[in-house]
Amino acid sequence: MAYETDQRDSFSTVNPIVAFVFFAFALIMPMLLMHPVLTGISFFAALVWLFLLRGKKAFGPLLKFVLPVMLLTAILNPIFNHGGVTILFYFRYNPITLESILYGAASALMLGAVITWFSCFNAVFTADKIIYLTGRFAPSLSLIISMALRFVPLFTKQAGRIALAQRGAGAGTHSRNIFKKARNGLSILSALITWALESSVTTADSMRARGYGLHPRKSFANYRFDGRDAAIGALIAAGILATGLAAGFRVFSVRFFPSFKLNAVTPLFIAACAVYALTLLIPTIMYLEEALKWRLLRSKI
Amino acid sequence: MTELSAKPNIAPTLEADRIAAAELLRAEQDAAEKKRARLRRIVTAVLLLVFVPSVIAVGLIGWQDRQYYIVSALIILFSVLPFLLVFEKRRPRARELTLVAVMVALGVAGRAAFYMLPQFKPVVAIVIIAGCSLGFEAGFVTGALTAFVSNMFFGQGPWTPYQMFALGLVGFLAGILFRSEIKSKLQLFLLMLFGAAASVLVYGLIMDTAYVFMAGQNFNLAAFAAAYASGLPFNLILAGATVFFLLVLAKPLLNKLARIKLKHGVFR
Repeated sequence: MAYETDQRDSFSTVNPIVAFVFFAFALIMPMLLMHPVLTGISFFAALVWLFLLRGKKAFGPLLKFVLPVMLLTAILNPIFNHGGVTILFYFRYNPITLESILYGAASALMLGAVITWFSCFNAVFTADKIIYLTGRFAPSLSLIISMALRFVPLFTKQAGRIALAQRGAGAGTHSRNIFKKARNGLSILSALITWALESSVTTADSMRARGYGLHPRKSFANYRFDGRDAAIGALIAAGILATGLAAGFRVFSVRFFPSFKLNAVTPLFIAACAVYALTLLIPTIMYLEEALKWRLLRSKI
Repeated sequence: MTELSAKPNIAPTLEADRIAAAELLRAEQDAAEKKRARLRRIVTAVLLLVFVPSVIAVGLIGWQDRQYYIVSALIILFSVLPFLLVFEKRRPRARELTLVAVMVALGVAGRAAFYMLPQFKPVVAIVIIAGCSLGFEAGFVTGALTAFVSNMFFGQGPWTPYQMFALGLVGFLAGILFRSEIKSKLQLFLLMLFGAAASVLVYGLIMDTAYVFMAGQNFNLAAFAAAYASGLPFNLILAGATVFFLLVLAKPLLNKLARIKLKHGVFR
């Protein structure tokens, strides 16, 4: 899960630095602007890409977990927030305003978009990419992350070995009694921890024997920065710049309190939204392009 | 003949000189190490007591209309990074790295092993034990990285920086408040009391506050009160789990760690 990349997704193969900039942009914009139209575009782009990445099964957890949180946010906001001038009705002597309902809806949309983008992030950013990124400025911490990721499956395997050895020596249990089972589990855990601590020192000695810490370290990197990365990076940078300029010149603006006010729908606004949408759809476009290319090539053979 | 008899006379003095020189060097290194440790402690304290509140103050003053999450996430990020970088810049030894990695892996595996029981997780207990035994610096690093690495399995999200900060703070406090060995029942009791308090008042409180920010709700008392009230049952389950796992794990795990530290001369 944390290790596998989707081979069909072409954005998963771009340089992690470019991908990270893209995700930072995708995640920060909805939170920073909270503009309903932009957040809607962002949510849509994230959902489409997530569908391509994970298929239908991605939407199970989204429906079970994200939808309730979104609904809760949308409902709770008007109950706790009485700002705004358009009072719709009174709920237990508290005014419920149109503005706070709109604000709640916008918050819910923002939350949905952010969590969906994070789901895409989790699919694309495998452990090796995270370590590639952090390894530049924090080699020791990345080494800890990398070792911990390796230790988890190692410990699980070792726990199995210990259980087998204990059973072989007549110390294990087949009993269904939950207390006996728990006791047995604890003795396995105890042996496992001792083994893990001792072997960690062995690992460290082995690292030292191979010269760890003698020279400034270079880290192994599986990612080059090639022409394609530069091109995609330039596209993303142009998109970020254009959206940033549009935000700076107040092409998108929204005000919730005291009264709801959206910016005027001008041709410039529509153009800026289109640029924003295209920037966020870059991974989707790359995926579809790759799929199309594959289909065309295959039909010729 | 004179040369032969002279040799054994000279050799011991040379040997003694060498031992004396080595001892002197070691004493110097120890003194330098102690000085550096004191400096690091001061730096960390300054970070925690001056830097973090000032970042929060700047965030509150510049608190823009509805950008709560961004501002709060930046505050959290800026308070996590210095701790991690202090650890990084100290150029930890290989044995320290592998030991912290083992504690992180135990925390992650613990979270995975109890996936079917919501909130009933040994993570906080393991981070507390790491903080007690390995010290406040490594305790913070263990907590923060346990949150980060376990989210590599369970999914990163807007909650990641808060979890890193909250668990890191638990490890840090455990390292400041407790010594590495449990000698009496009273000490174990105090540790369990701390575990319960840390689960509810540190981890729970930070994560419930984070929810209010994540949902982009307005900054008012009622919203926070509602978040804390709805989070309390979950936090109490977590506190129960922490107390239980500390009762079962604290003594054996701390003893094992103390043995490793003594045997191999790490984290002393």
